[in-house]
Order: sequence, then C-alpha cells, then structure tokens
Amino acid sequence: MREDIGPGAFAGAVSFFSVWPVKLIAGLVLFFALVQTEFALALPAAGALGIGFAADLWARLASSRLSFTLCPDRDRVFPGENVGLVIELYNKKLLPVWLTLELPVPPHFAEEEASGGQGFLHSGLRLLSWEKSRRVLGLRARTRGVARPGPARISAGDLLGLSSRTRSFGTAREIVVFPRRLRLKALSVPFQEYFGSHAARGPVEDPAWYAGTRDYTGTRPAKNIHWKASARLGTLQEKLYEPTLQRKLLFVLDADGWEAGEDPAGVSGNFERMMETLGTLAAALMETGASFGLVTNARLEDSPGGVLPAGRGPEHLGSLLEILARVTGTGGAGLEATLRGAASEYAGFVYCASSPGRRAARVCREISGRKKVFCVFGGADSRDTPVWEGFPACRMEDLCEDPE
Amino acid sequence: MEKIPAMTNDCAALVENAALVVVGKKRVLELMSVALLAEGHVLLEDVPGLGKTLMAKALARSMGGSFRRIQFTPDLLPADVTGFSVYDQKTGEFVFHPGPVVCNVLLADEINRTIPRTQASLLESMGEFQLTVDGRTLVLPRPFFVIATQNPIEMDGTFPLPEAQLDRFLMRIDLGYPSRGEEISILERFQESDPLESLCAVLSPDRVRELQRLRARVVVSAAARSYIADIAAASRAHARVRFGVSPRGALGMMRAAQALAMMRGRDFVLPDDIKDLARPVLEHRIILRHEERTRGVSARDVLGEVLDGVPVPVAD
Repeated sequence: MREDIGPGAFAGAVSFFSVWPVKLIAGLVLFFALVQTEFALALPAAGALGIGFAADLWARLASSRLSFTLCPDRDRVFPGENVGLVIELYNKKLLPVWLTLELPVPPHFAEEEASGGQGFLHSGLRLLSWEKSRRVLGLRARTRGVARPGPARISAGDLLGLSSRTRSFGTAREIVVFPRRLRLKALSVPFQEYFGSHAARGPVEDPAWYAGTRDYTGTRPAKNIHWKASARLGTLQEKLYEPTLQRKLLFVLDADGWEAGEDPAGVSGNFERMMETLGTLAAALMETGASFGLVTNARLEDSPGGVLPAGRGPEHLGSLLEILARVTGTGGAGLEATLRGAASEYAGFVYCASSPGRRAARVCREISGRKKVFCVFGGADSRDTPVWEGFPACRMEDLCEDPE
Repeated sequence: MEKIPAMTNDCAALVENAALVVVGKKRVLELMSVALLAEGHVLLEDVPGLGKTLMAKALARSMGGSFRRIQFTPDLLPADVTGFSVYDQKTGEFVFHPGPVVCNVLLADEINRTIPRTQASLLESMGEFQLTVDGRTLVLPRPFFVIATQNPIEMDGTFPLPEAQLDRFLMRIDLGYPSRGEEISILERFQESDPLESLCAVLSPDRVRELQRLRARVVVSAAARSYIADIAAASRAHARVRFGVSPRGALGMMRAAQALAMMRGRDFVLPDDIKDLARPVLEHRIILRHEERTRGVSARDVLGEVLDGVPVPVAD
C-alpha cells in the first residue's frame, strides 16, 4: 500500500511551545511589553512565540511530501513462522525530517523479542533531503487467523521535538495464518482403509495396465489386439484395461454442536484442534497425489462460502488451509443442503464433527449411499468408537499429535 | 557468416506470415520463432479457446516442411507416437512403421491428456532428435520442432507433465486473452473464411536449418555467459526452491538469447536478451518447495527475485 502524506492529513500539534494558550499568553505579554517598552520582558516573550511558530512551521513542512509504504514480506504463513513488515518512507523535499513510527502488533501475531515486547513496534528514524528509508519490523505468527497490519501511527516533527504532527495508516494487505500442521500418527490400519480404498473411477481406462484379454470382437481399434496372446491361443485376443483410479475425497467440517470457547469468537480449543487435524490430513493426502475438497458450515471472515471444489497439489492445499484460517466461529447450519450439491463427484468423505449424535448420523447418511464415509470426532464428549452407525470412526487424538 | 539483415528479414517474415492468421500475438510468435531457431521446443499453456492450436498450425505452415499432429488422448500408447514394427510374412522380417513423430513440425495437442508413459515416449525425440524402437535408432529429420499445447485448469482425466518432460521444453508460453480491439479483428478476419487455409510457407526446412546453424555463431561474451550461469546458480540457491534451473536450462537460455539477438539484427547477445527471455525459458524449470506452493508463491515470483538479485553485467 502506498500513501502520500499531505500537510492537511496530519492531526494536531503537541508540545508546550506549540499549544495555542502558550502562544496566546506569549503574544499578550509581547504586546504589553512593547507598549510599555519593557524590552527585557519582550525579548523572552518574542523568543517563546518565535520558537512556537518556527516549530509549528517545521512540523507542517516536515509532514508534507512524505511517501509511506507498508507491506508484509509474505502473506501466507504457518504458526511459528516470521513475517517482516516492510515500511518504506521517502522524504521528497529539501527539509530533513525526524519521524517516529508506531505499529500495533496485529492479532494472531506476537512481536519478535528484539521489538521490545510492548505490544507495539516502535521505530524512530531521520530522513535527510530526498532520502529513502526502508525498515523491517519483525512479527511471529502465533495462532490461526487472518490479520491486517495497522493502523500505523507516524509522527513527523522538528529537530528538537517541540512540535509534531501525527497520522494513522492502515493497509489493505492481509496476512493469513494457516492452522498449525500436526504430526500424523502411525495408523493401525492402512491409510487407504480410512480414506477410501474404493477410489473414484476415472473417465478413461488406463492403457498402461492390462487386466486381461478376451476374444477380439472387431469393435475396437486393432491396436488393442494382444498379438502374443493371439499367437498363443490361435484366435485374435484384445486387451482389457484397468480403469484409471483417482482418489478423490471430500472433507466435511461440521461446525455445529461444538462447545463454546473462551476467545471472542467463541471458537473452542477442540474445534481449533480439529481444524489442525483436518489440515494435516489434507496435507498428507496431497502428498499422495489425491484430489480433495472441503465443505464447511462454519462462519468465515471475508469469504463467500465454505465450499472448495476438488483439486490436487500444494496450491489446492493452500486454498483449503486458507478457508480454515478464515473460520471465525462455529454453530453454522445447512450442511446437508450444501452437501447434496457438492458430494456426487467424490469417492469418499471424511466427516469431522464434534461428537457422534443424531445430527452427525443424519449427515453421514446423507452423504453415504454407495460412498465411503470416515468419521473423525473431536468434541469434549467424543468417545473411542472404532465403528459408529456402520461407519469407521475415530477421535482426532488418534490421528495426529503435536509436532516435536 | 551470412549478413545479419538477411537472417533478420527471414525471421521477421516467418512471424509476419503467421500473424496473418493469429491476431495480436506477435510477441508469442516471436518467442516461438526464437525457440525454433534455438533448436528447442515450445509448450503453449493457457485456458481453452485462445488459439493455441491455431498458432502452432500457422507457424508450422509458415516454415514449411512436414507437419504432423497428434491429439493426445488417455488411451494413446507410446507406439502411437513413435511407431512400431510389424511382421511382414512375405519377407519374413519385421518392418518398422514410423509414427507421427517422424516429421519437421509436430503438434502435440493437449499433451497432458495422455498418461505419463506416452508422454515419456517423446523424451528421446525432443532431447536428442532421434528415436529408438525395438533396439533400432532412427535419426529424425531436421529441423525437428515440437509444439505442445495444454490446458492448465482441468483436473479430471489429465496427467501433469513430469519435471523431466517439462525441462525438455525450451519455453513455456502463456497466451493471455486478446484485447477488445484484437477480438474484433479476430471476428472480422474469420467472418467469411479461415485464413489458415490460404496461408503459404515463407521458409523451407533447409533455410530454417541454415538459420539454426548461423544462430550458433552469434557471439556470446564471457560476461553474458557468466550472467546466465549466475542466474542458474541463484535459482538453485534460492531458499524457496526445491530444484532450480538445470544446466540444460542454462544452455537453452544461451541458445534462445542468440536467436533473439539474431532476430533483432545483432550478431552478439546483450544482457537485455537474457532478461527478456528469462520468464518463458526459465520459469517452468523452477520447482518450488511444496510449502511455498501451499502459500501461493509462484515460480514467477521467485524468478523475479532471482533476476533482481543477480547483477546485470555492464560494459567496461
């Protein structure tokens, strides 16, 4: 974000010499001293008045023709990673300027130790004529969420600090902190058992893998003839191919029924942990080359909806993690209706919910049919249930653990 | 060495002729011509309907020579590309039937729709200009130029090109949408007939081969070579990169810069030529770490940082 700081944009001047009652008194004293020809009194009064006006003028001029840029050096981070807030200032005039910069630490972040640990990032600097300056203020991502740095307060004044003018700035750039990535535990059964051994059939047969042969009927191109088998059997044989398999899973995050948390949005620690678990599972699936999507009914910040169509690759994982990062609250509804439209193309589902109950059973039945559903429960009252209502299930603690 | 203006005119004629069909994409046509002169191959990547196939056909027709097209489909087999041996009962011997890859210009349409095994059947042809089938090696006719197209947005039924295959493309080029004025020109030009049908060749394969040989004589100074090597090294050392630019990529960069210099009427390479070609030649060779891709960082961002960080050589 680039801002040009104009003289009228700054608010108020703050110093003893520049406040108007002091100037008024000094002016009155000067007036009466001159009328009475008391030069011993007139001199300091004129000096105080002169200093006040000069400091004001300097501050006014100092705050003009300043260019200011605030930009994070990265905008997608995991908790524990560092972000640098890059602040660039340009003094586009002859007059040198003394500046003080204050930037509150955004939510979901903590300042690095070098910054002072006061909840504000401070920086004082001097800009000579036509000088550019670049400062990087360090932040460390702490918790999942979305933050916009700012508003920054910048004060410009004279050399002695007698007068200054201050203005606040925001930025349109946001920093997304993804959910923390956990460590996937060693599962007691093969990964595919949980997440879909019945992979989706691709739209084509895979000519790399032969399932067998049969008598050639002449309805397919001759390139499908298996010549060696034909020679062995004495009749033309054609190859039968395996269908191409694609593992395609839909994560369903049911935000209803979770206990209220202590943070302002009411997101509980268990729900946070569930999002971390879901993100970790999605990352593990991405590594296997599987396609995955997400449906959630949680409240989201600045996002049109909690539906992510199927896709694969790290970029797609980033989209899923961003949706999770934007979750601001639980207690949504209408999950079944959303699933009806989105679920048809998937081979399996990972249903993440608070606890096994009637509502969970209804949703699972809604999405099951001929598909495979695996349930993960994470609420305080979730129980260790390997099979629930006919669906394989587990608690989120059984899937992931804290990274070392 | 032949006079540079004559070579430049031939290159310009190639681009101008193809531009009779393709509206508003002179830059792309110029890059494709650079790849042709640098003995490289081109991957055109963009969303459907932007004229990738049309562009490939227009350039192929403009340069003359034999042209073959393979529509890559999921059931395509390697033998459909390379050719296969058939037993001849009269002679009692196997006879090799060459596949469509034996040509001057090969259009590999929708290359990511076929399985990786079939994609890999092009590796030897693209890298070494030869073909080995059943233990027999066949030298391909020169020039041999592969123009592949792919659509980056579809997921189902597609197989992303592996890194080894991507590295064999000298350039990956995005087309982009035409402007409003260009779109109106397209509508006008194609209103009554297809201009591709009346497009004639302006070069011959022999002339293209000659230009390729002359391109190799364009001077690359030690400073320019160092600049390319520095860019490649910086891309490998970048913290966000898993695999940087390969030596093949650096070599391709040098050849492409020579070709661009020739097209611009010079017999020496400038650092500007290298910077100008960095994106199409190097971007697809930079493989980012997974976590960086998760964050939405692109190879383009990283390449920009690399180019900003490597000092450009200046004249003494």
